[in-house]
Amino acid sequence: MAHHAPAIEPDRDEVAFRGYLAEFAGPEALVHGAEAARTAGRTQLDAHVPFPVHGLDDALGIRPTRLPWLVFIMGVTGGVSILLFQLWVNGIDYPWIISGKPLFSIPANIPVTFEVTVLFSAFTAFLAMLAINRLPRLHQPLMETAIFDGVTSDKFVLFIPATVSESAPAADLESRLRNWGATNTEPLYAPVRGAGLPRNLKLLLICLASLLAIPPFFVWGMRGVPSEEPRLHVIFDMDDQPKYKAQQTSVFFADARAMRPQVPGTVEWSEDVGAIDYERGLDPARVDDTMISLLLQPDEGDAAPAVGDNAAPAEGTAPGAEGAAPGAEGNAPPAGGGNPAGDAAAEPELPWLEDFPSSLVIDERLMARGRARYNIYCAVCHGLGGDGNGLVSQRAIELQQATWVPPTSLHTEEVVKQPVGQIYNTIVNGVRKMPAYGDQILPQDRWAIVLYVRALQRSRKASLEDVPANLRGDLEELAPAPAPTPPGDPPATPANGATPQGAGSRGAGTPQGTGTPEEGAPAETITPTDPDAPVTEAPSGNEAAPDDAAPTEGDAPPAEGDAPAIEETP
Amino acid sequence: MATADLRIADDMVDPRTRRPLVEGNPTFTSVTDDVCRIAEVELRKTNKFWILFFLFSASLATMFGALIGHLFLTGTGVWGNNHPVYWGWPIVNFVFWVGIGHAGTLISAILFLFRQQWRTSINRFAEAMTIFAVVCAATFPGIHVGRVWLVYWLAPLPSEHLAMWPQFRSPLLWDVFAVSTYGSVSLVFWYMGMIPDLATLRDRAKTAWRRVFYGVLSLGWNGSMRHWVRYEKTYTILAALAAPLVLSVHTIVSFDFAVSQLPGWHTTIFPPYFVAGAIFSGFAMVMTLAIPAREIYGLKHLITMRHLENMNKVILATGSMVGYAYAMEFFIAWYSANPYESFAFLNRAFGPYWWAYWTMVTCNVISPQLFWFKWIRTNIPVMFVITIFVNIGMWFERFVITVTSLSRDFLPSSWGYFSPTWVDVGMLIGSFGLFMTLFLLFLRFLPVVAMAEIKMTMEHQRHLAHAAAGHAHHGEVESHPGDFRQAPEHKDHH
Repeated sequence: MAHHAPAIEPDRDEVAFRGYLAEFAGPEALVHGAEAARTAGRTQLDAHVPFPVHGLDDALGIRPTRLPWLVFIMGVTGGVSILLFQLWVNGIDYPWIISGKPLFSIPANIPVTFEVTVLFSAFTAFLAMLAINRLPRLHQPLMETAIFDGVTSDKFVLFIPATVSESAPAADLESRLRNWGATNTEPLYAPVRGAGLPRNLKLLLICLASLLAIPPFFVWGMRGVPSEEPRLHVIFDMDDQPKYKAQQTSVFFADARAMRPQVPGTVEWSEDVGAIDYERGLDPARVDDTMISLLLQPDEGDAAPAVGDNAAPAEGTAPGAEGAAPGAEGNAPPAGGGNPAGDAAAEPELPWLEDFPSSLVIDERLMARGRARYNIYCAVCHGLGGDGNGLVSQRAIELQQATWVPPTSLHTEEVVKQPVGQIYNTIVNGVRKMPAYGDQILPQDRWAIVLYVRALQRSRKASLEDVPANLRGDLEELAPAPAPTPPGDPPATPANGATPQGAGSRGAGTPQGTGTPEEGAPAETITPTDPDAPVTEAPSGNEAAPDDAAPTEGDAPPAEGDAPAIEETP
Repeated sequence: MATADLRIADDMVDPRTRRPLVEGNPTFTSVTDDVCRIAEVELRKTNKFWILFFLFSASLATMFGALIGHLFLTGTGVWGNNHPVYWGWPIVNFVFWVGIGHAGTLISAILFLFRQQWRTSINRFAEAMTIFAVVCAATFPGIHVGRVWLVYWLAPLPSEHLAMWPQFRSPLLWDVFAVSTYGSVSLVFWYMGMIPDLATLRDRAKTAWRRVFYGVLSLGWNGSMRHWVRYEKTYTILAALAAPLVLSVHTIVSFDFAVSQLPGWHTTIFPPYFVAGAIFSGFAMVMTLAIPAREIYGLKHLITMRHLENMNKVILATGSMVGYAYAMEFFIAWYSANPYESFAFLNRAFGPYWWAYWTMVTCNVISPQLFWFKWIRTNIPVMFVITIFVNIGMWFERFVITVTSLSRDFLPSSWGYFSPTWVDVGMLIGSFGLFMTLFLLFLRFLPVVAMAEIKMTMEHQRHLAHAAAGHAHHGEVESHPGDFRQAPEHKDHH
């Protein structure tokens, strides 16, 4: 019993003596044995037992583990991280307002924070326990000793490591162990070099790793290789729909076009294109017959301006829709549709209507209508005052949208000088990045908007004389030293917000020419009938009032031809 | 070979002392043998009952898989979920299984922290049951999301394609975190508790594949006392973490309902009421499983009548809490003077779903009250039947809460009556098949009783016995009857 032959074959690898394993009869005998060994000066003791024996840790001199601190630190880390993550996700990166609740509030974020704290702590505890115990270590020399058999069931074994001077089992230590109560002893040998993985396992792992490397290698090889085949979709998402989109080819039709031409005999359904001034914004006196016939092509009805002289022919539209071969027609992305020929080059060529169509009844009601339509359709981009600073634009600029083209200010010289017919056309067909609104706004409302735009423009260029005489006093109170306004008052100057907008009647055509929509909004309600308003508005709307603002007076839109309102109001 | 020498004859026992936790006169060796034998039976000698039951369960589980496939290929229209009851059986089953999954961690963690040593024989059972119940539970919301291949959207992963983040203020998201945390922490807790016992199986393994299987799973555990010290500390920490976790999970599940504004759901009583119900149903399920298992596998001396009786007492206590919650819901419905609330509860009891409500009350409120009688508490066939009743009742509780509230919302024009489809029924049965399959595999191949803990309890009992017999042995131990797992630093006086 004294010297078991070391279980490890010494010839395979060099082994060294590591210490003595001593079996004891039971938990108490083991505790006594361990105490005796420590008293005899042996340290670094360990025991191998089927369950944690009460008091053995003290007998072996095991100090408490610091693992709880690690768990605490990691738990706090997890909790703080997830709290900050929630703050970032829902408070900063993707704010989403629900029922007006705060974007970030501790109570709503406690459940997830708690769960993640527990998750971090628990996994830290488990993984750190394994790491500190240096597990997993599937095979150990200890497991090859005879004495280990049964340690996990019912054996109580003390391990006394060899000291530096002990390079081989010593008989005296063994007899002392017997004196301390050991019933059986065995020396432990271990390879000098740590045993590596078994050869078969190594091979298996290498094979597995090579197999796993194939897909990434394949992907790397295919990188940048063009393919005629469509992408493989494992799961068809909702953006993959079996349908044709514009400009695609089809195998179904002989001409291979997915977009179908109109069936012969198709009749245009639209409003009567009778009055070319009212419907098209062109001056009938200057439009010749060929131009009219082109304009009235049913196929490209809305494309009137494009049909003109320059842009369209190049695209092959000129021959007209009806006669053209299907192929040619397809090439002419309905000239009016996307980017109507609002290009600067096309503008002077068309005989725009210079004054409002004669059939239009211009009155206070139309102005009010125009203001309302403008605020609905135009103000989101152009701003309530027409300065090109609407909320959409502000937001797009804030988000640094690369493709965003800021809307034009309606007070630039170019726009101010445009004939009404051209502004009308812009509403119908859009210009540059501005989409067409013709299908959303009826002709009457388009003219109403043009009227209101004119009023806005006029308000920026107005002088004191434009204000009704009985209201000038109010302005002079605000700014006692009126100075003549330079005619080219830059639109950026938010001067106008402060002025009593000279709109005669309530609301009709009160331009809100302010720097920002926030300021513009209150200005909207100001009318000369409310003498207090300008007073309170002036300082808040514009700090630079004394120099610039006061003299720049808003103007009555009725300049357009409906003046009486001004006189009526007071 | 140490023996736990139990010299307490029944007639000598002081009436104040309790029945021993381990009966017979087992030794450490015999405990190892008794428990390991179950997992070590040769395949061809597997218990006939086990094979029959396994085949039955596995075919149900296969049906479950097939139905899930049917669901994926066809869409959620195969269920009875439809206007106005969009949360039908899948959610009922989810809450039911999550509730069952509570007993395991409760027994493992909370009873451990309270030093209730009687838990040692049943905790492994209960923990395994927890894991498998959570597997079943997690399946239902997983397949309920509609486009199941996008289920990863539930997780807060950065995604260029989606370009958005989950909403951290939503109870449904809390649920994702709660259930997944609970599932993974329970798994760690269960697995870690098994490592020493897996090492025992490894060291007894006779065949190569067993050596590899148990060898890999036991991670090279060698019983080192230095390892044990850290292991015990970790176990205590995990228990301390799992205890609030187990309470949080069903609390958060109840938020799915309580945070919405539907009469019948929008009540502050839900969190405690759900937790009590979860413990109630979980303990009942542990009993349902443990009673046949101890008969078949001859574990009666380890899972003793005292264990069963204690479990029945817990069922009685939590069943009474659940009954109290039902009564309190009615009281508040009246006391709040809220007509919608009153209607919701009267409708539950006397509306079109009255049969579900009264099934629930009979099973959950009345049947556990029988456990006030000791002869019922200790009568195995009767308690088995009662635990099955409790399981049925708790399923109906979730059905009543979910379906009756949804079927009668604020607009009478949208009222409706929920009818399950055959797929609904098949999936509920199939989930039981999955649960039982996993559980039977566990019974067959893993250590079903925590051997190391039992041995520790035996050693502790021996100390107590010596103390009772007047031996002055480790006097401090007896003064702390529960501290067999005390951390080293608390034993400085030793």
